[in-house]
Amino acid sequence: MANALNQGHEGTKLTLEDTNQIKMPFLSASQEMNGTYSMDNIFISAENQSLKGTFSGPIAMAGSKIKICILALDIAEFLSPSSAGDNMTNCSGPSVRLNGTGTARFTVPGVREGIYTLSVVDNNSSKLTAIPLLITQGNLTMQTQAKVMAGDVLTAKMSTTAEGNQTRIFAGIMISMKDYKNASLHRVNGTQNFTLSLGSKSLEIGGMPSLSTDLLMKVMYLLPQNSAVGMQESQNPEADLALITDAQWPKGIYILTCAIYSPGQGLIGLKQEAVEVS
Amino acid sequence: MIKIFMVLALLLLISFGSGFEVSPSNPNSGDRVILNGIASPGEQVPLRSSFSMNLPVAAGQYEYETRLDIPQKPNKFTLTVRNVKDFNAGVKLGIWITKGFAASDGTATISQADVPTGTYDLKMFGEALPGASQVPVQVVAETTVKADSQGKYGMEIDTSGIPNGDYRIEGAGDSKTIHIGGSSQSTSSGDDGGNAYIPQKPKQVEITRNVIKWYAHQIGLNPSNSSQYAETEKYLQKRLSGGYWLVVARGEPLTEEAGNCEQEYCLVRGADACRICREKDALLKGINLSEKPELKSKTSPQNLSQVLENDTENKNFISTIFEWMEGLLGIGKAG
Repeated sequence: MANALNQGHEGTKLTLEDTNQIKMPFLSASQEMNGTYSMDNIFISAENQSLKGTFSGPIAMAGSKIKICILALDIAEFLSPSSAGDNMTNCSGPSVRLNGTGTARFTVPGVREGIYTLSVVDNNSSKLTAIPLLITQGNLTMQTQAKVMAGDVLTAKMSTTAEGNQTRIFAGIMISMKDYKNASLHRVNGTQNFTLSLGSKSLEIGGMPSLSTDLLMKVMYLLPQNSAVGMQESQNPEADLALITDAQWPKGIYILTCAIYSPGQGLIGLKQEAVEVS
Repeated sequence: MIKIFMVLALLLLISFGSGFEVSPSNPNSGDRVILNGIASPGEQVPLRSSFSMNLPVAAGQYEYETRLDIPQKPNKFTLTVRNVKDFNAGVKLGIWITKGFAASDGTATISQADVPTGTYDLKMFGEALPGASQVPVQVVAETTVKADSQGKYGMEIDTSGIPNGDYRIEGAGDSKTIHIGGSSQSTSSGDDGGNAYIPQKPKQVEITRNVIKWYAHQIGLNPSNSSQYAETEKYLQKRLSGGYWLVVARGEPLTEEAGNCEQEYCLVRGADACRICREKDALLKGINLSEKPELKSKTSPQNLSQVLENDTENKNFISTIFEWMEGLLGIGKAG
């Protein structure tokens, strides 16, 4: 767990403490729009865990009040190019006063598992900045090699703090950073559908993407050949994943994204690490 | 899982009926075996085959790798491994997909039905129980075949590359055991390997501290740290277990490309890499489909994405693959 930083609009800066973050594919509201909204990272925290952070605004805001609110993510609204500056009268979170340098620390009560937007609004309820926030049932810790030789097996030790002895699926996907960076998620014009593209392949997803085995299976077909998937099912809070690489894989940095999922219950944890394939 | 597939491949080509004959019963590897069976016309005859093998354990790890062919459905396979702490099964469907299984009392069992036809690269590997020198693998493959309009079954099996051993085949109250290799002590005559397959004979270096230090740098660990050194040694031993990989010294020939190792050490595939795998490859290649009129052409999962885009029949195949993977991975559709 580390502090996560988001550089917002017009010089605003939002830092969340003790959160993980994962890199996201490039997102845009539509394929035709010029004003796309880059969402490089999504912040991850465990449910019911209060969120502490720091907001820094322009010096002109020094001494003014801001409000912090967490609302269920409407990805279409979030991706709207006019997102910043939107009026958010429904923001009823705690308010804090910025100090003389336009900075304030804040604490927001924890929320249940889900996908949210953490927004900062000014005294007029205008949105100053917002970040996507994924709340999982617990925290996930992962240990893996920093480097693996092409053709070798990468192992990832995963464990979660979430309690219970329900069946859990531990899964990991390994994909080259190059391909991951080129991935994109577009909203299809005039619909609630999204298109996930990876290289020359794409997949249309109906409605808000949600984690499911169906989605996982479909995503597998988007993955380039120098990708790998590992899974294990267990009732224990920990498991070892094995991901097989091929000797022909291009050398370079790969992104390993691991998740623990409980069918019918939801996402228990999510974490991402960079691994070098040599 | 691998052996299961292979036996399945064998079985699916063997059209036994309610009573069948096999000739010869003790073929040498490379011989052709003729199998004939009689059943009622159109009868569906369930068949079951089983055999065992022992995988060597090196540095506490076992590993097996091959490519195999599933000629038709229906099918079901069950694989049981013993003396293991864990078991991982990987199948390459364009990308490698691996599922881990926890062992119970040293035993792990997986079972899967209706594996889609196609050619698969497969790996199984894991950690053996402490002190185990071998991992016994038992394979059971089941299928159902349909007699033709005259109730006849017949086929020819090319046993080239089939390793010595017994294959027990049961069906409709009858059972036969094919013993490949006869009483000869000679190695499989079908294991010619091919000159192109074994271009060079690399020489494995002794695994010294220097080698471990070199490997640590290769995988991003610090050999000066004792725990990371130990971890590196473990990874390297695991890597080298089974003889598939070798570490060769500078100047030694490379095995997969021209030239010699130009670094202090190089990790290469051994010339005898996975000899059993090649034997199994030969087994699968060697089986002839003499009479399979109803067998559809197979689609290689290597090209799934192209297939997905192109034709309806293969989209059904993709769906089947999905279902199979869901079954294999043990996950439902709960979302």
